[in-house]
Amino acid sequence: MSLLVMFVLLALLLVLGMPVALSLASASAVYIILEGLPNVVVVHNMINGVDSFPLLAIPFFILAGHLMNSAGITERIFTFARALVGWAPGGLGHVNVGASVIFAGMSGAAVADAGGLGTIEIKAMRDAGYDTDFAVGVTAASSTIGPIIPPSLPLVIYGVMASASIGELFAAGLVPGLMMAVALMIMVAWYAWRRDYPRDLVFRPALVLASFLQAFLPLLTPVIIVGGIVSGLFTPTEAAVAAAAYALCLGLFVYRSLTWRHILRVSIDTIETSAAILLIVAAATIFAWILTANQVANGLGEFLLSISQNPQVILIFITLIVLALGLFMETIAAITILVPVLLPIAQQVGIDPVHLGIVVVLNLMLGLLTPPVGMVLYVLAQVSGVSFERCLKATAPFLVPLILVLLLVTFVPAFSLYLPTQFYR
Amino acid sequence: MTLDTERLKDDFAEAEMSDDISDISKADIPALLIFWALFAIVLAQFFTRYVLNNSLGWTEEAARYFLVVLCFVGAITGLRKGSHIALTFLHQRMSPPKVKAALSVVHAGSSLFLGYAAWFTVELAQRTSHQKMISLNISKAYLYSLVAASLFIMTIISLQQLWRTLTRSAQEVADEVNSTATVEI
Repeated sequence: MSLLVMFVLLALLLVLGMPVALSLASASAVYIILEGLPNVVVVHNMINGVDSFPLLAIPFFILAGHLMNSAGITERIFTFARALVGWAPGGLGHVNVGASVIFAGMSGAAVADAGGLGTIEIKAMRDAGYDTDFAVGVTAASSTIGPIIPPSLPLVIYGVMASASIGELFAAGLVPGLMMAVALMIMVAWYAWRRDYPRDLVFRPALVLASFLQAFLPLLTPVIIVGGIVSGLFTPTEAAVAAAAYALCLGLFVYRSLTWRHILRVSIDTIETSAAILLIVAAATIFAWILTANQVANGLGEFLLSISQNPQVILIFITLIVLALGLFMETIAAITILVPVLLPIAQQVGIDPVHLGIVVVLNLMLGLLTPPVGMVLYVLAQVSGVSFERCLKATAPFLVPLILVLLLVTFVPAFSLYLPTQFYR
Repeated sequence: MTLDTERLKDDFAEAEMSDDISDISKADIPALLIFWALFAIVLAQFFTRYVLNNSLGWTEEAARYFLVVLCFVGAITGLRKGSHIALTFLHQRMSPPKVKAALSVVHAGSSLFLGYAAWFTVELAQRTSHQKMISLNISKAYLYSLVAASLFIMTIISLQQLWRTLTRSAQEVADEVNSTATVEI
């Protein structure tokens, strides 16, 4: 009964527009009061939820991403991607995907990618004469690569909640992320062929080399992060700090583009984003604690396992549950709530926790592109001046390649598990 | 259909180089100090582990507690600016009086919860006053007190927001909602 009150209250508060973190925490507090449990449990769980060393990676990955965005680095990456793939028909579409992949190796977020680089990409593509729908669709779809290719904030949160190795999760995301990029590029090529899109520039090795040298130092960031973590040299937290310190050095000493005002701006933005994420983690911790105490996972598990014990079938159910929640829930909150419920079920049928992590995050990324709570679409609608409905329509065709990748990654565990097995197991 | 490279440069400069600090106030100083202290601590741990091959024992625990404090102190800034992640899409489809009603409930509910949380964090601090941190000879009560103080400040901000919502016209409230941007993850 108290549990039902909690769920209804949560839904109500969310719809009214209370911040996700406060909705989760308030609904949980009401449950604790109704059940007559000690009230200290609420804050104690919240504080313990963020008292975690791996979570330290979050502020520093965010800092590194922000610094990269404000140190003149985005432009070098875009220029390099342009020289590299801009010669193909539909050139800027490929550049868009390529730049997203490179940027994904530096930042761990999707919506920030859409808001930063995406703004410029949409504008550049429209200026160059591409259809607005195409520009918005490619940008929205390619921004979801960010949290799949390491570093990834959602994967850090998943790792903390599932007690899975974040290094393994990062290694596991690399191949699926690149698969998404390839799938989107095939889609772009198809559009270019159908609509007869032109090439952006002629392929010149000299230009590729020149832009590569210009972008060389920033391009080392993904090497430091991905290489450092996958090889086991750095923990994710250390990699995050190293990346942030490296970006800071680039901005301060190499490009000399950072002033103290930039640093202040970047710090405040980082604090705000980090606190927003951490507060959701804190609030979702008490919420998840209540779900666990009520054995919600057991109930759901018994029900699902009574239908089938086949891992593939269970994966289909999990996908449907995550997709459904992802339509309404913000990514971080969804992970924190879902993991304690889904992980025990997955483990009972022998699904690898690392594999499950990639599947869950991929599903939630699709939720960023669909109504009613498609965060990426809202941001793109805001920055491009295109209506939300039109963004939605423009992005819909690009869901097809992403869903195909999702299916491949879900049902062929090797795509995600090959790298972690090679390096970690 | 090619790009105007010069114009592109300007676009990048405009999008990247925001050094507008007009919305930063003195109230953000504690969060900034905590943030840079956290950065320094983790960097120190990194340095001592890799360069000196002898990591400092207290850095890991200290970093975790700074993270907890950053979460709650930083949340004050977010609450002040209304940038915490919320599902605001419905507000854009509601009539102004409905927005005002929804926001009144939101702010009242937030105030209630934050006050409740602040109150019981104080109790937590009192209960743990004898408990020391593991590697540092400091009582855990200090950690909880900082969290309690942050929650208390957030309660006051939330009450102010409730008051502002109740005392202004529905149109004003609705206009403000549609102009605030939430944090981007």
